[in-house]
Amino acid sequence: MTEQELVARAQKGSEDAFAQLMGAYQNKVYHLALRLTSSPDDAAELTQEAFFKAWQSLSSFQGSSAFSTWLYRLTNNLCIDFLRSKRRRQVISSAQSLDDEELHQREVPDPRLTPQGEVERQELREAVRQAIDLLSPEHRSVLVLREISGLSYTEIAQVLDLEEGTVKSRLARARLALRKILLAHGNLFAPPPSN
Amino acid sequence: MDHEPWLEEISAALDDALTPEEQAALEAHLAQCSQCRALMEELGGIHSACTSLTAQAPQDLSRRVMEKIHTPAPVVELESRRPRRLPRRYLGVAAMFAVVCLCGGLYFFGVGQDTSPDLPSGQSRSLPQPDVADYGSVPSEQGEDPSANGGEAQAQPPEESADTGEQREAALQSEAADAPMSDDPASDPSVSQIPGPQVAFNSVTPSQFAISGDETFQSTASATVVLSALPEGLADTAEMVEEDSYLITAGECRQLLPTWEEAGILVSADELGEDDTMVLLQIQSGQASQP
Repeated sequence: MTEQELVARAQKGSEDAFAQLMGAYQNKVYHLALRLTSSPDDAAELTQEAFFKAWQSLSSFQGSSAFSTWLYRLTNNLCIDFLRSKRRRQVISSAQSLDDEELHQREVPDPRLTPQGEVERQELREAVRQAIDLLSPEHRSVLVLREISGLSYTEIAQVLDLEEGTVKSRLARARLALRKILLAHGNLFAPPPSN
Repeated sequence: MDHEPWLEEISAALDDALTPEEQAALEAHLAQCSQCRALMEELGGIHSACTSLTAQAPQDLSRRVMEKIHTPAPVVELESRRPRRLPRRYLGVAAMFAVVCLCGGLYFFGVGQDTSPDLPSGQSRSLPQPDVADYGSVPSEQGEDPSANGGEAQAQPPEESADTGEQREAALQSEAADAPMSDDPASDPSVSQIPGPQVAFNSVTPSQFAISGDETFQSTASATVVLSALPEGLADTAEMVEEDSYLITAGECRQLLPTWEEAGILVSADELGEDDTMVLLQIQSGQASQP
């Protein structure tokens, strides 16, 4: 059964079809929520909420975008609302802006993860994971949707309600900011000389 | 050499998002620029590390979602805690406002070619903000006959054509449809200056909604509160997500309730949910709010 057929059946009330859709997307949705919130517990709750809301609002899905895009947008909005609510209760010690390349004064990655010399693949992944947590919400969203969720620029634009050109430039800035964080914490290796 | 213009191209190249021409241009540049080559390799390494990140959802996620689907949602209705009536201290203001509107309405419909056969007798129209330039026949404070003025404040001439009159009537009806009725000061758009009994009510909790007509979720909230007017100061506290729609945490909403109650806006704190949940405030001006 194709995804479109599953969605159509779920829209008619088939819990079995919806469960299959959940099975196909729960890891991706959870991973998206995890990268956006940096908290496994919050991500689990938000993922559960995202699928619950998806079930309730399936009738509003008209198929003009891919089901995954619609689901990611729902998840992203949930996470954004959650982070807004969380920020209202936190004292933010540094200003957050799209163009601000400075580090956020938040939790610092474990310096013991700094590789000496050649970087092990695992260590770099961990360093990148922690560095993503330090990105601004705007940079983090676009980067996670591209690198983690694998969305195209067009799909990212639909999820975030942006122009594709904005997605392209914001993604470039996000990667640059991520690189800067890694460099500042000594987690980025010097690339081997190219030909 | 300025490397800034090549940043986006390098990033897009990692996503195979360049056109053949753009790819060729980038490759030509990289052949000459060691800094950009180094940047490309660094970003490529980061890109590979990002795409290799994985995460597993909790094992019982699907079960918990289905349990929640099968759990009936509580229906909450808010009851007004006091009768809907004008506070005493606003009776004088409301009375004056009613008199002004009545005078303005009588004068307006009693002068010129006001052809409003469909207007029920005794029903007054509420002019949002009497503008002599717009209507022409609203008297000035000195009670002058606007038709004697040579400027914009001229009344419609008696020999006004029927078509013009009909157009003006249509415009007036359109404005009247937007403007609140004068006998209900609480529904005036400038309600922050003219308080009155405004009963707010909570819709079903938990609720979901699409703020706009877009098929996708715009936002989610644990509760929706419909207000007949915009409480003063709300725009400074809440986040406007769309015209007449604001997001605010339930905790912040509770803190504002005493202020709203003074203005006659009643919301039950019990129905707002946990402090850290989001509440959607929808302003529907002119709606006769009833619990």
